[in-house]
Amino acid sequence: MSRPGIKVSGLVASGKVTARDGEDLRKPLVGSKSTASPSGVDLPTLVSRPQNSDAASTSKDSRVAAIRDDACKIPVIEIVDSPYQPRLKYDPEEIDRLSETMDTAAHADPIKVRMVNGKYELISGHRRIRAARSLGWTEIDAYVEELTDREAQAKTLLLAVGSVGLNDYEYALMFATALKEGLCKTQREVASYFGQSTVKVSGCLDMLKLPAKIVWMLDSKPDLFGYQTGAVIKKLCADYPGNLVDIERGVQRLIEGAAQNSLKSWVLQAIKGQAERGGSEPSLITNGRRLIFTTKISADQRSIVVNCKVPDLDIAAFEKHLQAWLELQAQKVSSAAPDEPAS
Amino acid sequence: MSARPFGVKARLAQELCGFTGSPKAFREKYNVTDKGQYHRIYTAEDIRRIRMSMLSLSEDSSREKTVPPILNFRMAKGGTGKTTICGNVASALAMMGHKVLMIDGDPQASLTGLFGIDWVSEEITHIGDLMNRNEKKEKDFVDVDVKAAIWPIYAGGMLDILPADITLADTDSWLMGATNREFVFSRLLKRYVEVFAQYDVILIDSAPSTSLLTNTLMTACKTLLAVVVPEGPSTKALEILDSNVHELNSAFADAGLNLDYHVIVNRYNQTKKPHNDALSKLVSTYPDRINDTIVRDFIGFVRQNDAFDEKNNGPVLEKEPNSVGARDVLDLTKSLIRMFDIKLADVNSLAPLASVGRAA
Repeated sequence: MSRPGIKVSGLVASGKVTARDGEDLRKPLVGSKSTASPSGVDLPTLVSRPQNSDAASTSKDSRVAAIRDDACKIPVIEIVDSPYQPRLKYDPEEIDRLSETMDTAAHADPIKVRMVNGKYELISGHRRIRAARSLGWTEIDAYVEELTDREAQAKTLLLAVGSVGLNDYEYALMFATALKEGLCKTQREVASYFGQSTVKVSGCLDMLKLPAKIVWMLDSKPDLFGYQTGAVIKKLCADYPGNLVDIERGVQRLIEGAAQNSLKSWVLQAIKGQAERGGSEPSLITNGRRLIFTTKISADQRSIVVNCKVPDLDIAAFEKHLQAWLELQAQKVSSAAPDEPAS
Repeated sequence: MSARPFGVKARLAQELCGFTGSPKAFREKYNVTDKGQYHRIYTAEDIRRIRMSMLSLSEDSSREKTVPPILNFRMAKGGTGKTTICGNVASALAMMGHKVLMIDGDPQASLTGLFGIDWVSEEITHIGDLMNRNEKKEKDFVDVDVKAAIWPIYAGGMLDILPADITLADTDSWLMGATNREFVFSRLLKRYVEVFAQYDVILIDSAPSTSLLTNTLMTACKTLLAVVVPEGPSTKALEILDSNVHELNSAFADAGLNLDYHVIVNRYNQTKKPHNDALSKLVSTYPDRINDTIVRDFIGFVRQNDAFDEKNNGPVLEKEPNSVGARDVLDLTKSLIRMFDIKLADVNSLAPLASVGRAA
């Protein structure tokens, strides 16, 4: 569609707009709950965020009978996404494939939910529930568990790791949450908790420390680059702090479909190109109406490039005149005149 | 007047339905009848039908008999884009499958004009007339036909309007003497609840002035939507609205009135420094009241609204569905759906509990 929308939280995060109270600037504002619902396009009527753990009080209603150890059928309509789900985007093709298997081979692995405010909040099965909705199922097999907010959060994060293809930015946000919520204290603990290597954990967490604008791009497209490219960007930012604009343009290229491994060479080229262009801008020589010549001093400051822009000029004659003039100059100067490749 | 023929192409329809699968699966599962066009066109009714089937609801399910959520677009300054935002959000809500009623509460009748009704030449019964008739004493009372006053915009009751004309400006003159005049509108909603209950949401486009009419329209809702341009005069007017809200709240504290307001930033231009400064001020002053989605400055909003050629007017979603403006309106609408808990035919109360795991 068109250019992505502008969010107040995005402007604050990028420093374009400043909130003066000096709070955590990345804290989402009211109405910015879109970040809380993981699906890109969600079913708006079904989204309601649980306030706190009053699972115990609500479980007293008629559905209390449904809470038991083995799987039971629960209405699809009453299931809401978990606010703790780290996944930001769902691949439509994946959902298609999943719904196909669920349709032909039945639903083998029940989803896990818990009761919150009279609704079933998902713990695992975010993709399965989407597939079920697109199949038009009214009910789905589920394990209903009784968990506090904290337990649910821990479990949702853990189970998401086991599921298919989280991207590195989603991992990064998940690790950061785990550290912030005190599930783990050190990066090493995070690594063993989620069964990931420490290199990946620190790499992913570093992604969140990239310049605000790049993190913002990641927000809108979580699978933009992985933590390894993140490390490359981090190094570029450290090496060329004055060329942030070039680095951002390089990342922008990734959005447009360039390969991740081309980023470094492209940015270096851009930075180098800028240094080279330092020589001078070409001067234009016109006859009042059209451009006839351009002249340019090269970066080495010892040669001049003259470019003739009209086809009807006799280049051979022009060179002769120029040579004659240069000979005159050579008479005046004792040392050698600058060489001039004409074209 | 007959309803406007309008639909969107498959790609946008898929987004509006919230379908997570691939375009191919969407086409195969939810096809629409051929309307003789080259593209498959999904009307608001089609999208409602698809969303209902995605939610496994039967097509004839409807809301319980209560007044639906009310979105009142209100600002103490003219020209900030209340009508534009109201009309565009209404059309987006309808295209997401909700049944929507718009009430034009502005004697300038610009919302009426936006949807192609020429209020100068047409016979119009506006909200002021309805409230006035509803307030008549027992012996003079004749039943008010609210339904007859409502004009269809999208077929199937997906988008309807209660239009206005210049005579709405006379409302204050009789409201002055009405008993408990601040709640005249609430009483109308209550008495004809079965008409209003068939909609999933009601949108009111209010006049910029602070009058008895705007006050009575304000007290019926919980949260006002203040549309603000990030510029000095507009932010100043927001302070006026703020004190207006406090005044009403303290005057009717006994009646349990607890109005709040929510700020929508409109016509923002990222390259203008004064806009960024004004926005910084807004963010600092109203940190938990600003909607995260900003509506950018987009000339299409103006292009679609010609005061002398109503027949061709319409919201951007109809005219330029792929534009920046349409994108912002859709994002804004989604945030409002969450904020006001706008539901599709009250899904909670009518969840079908079929014993088989499949919809028919």
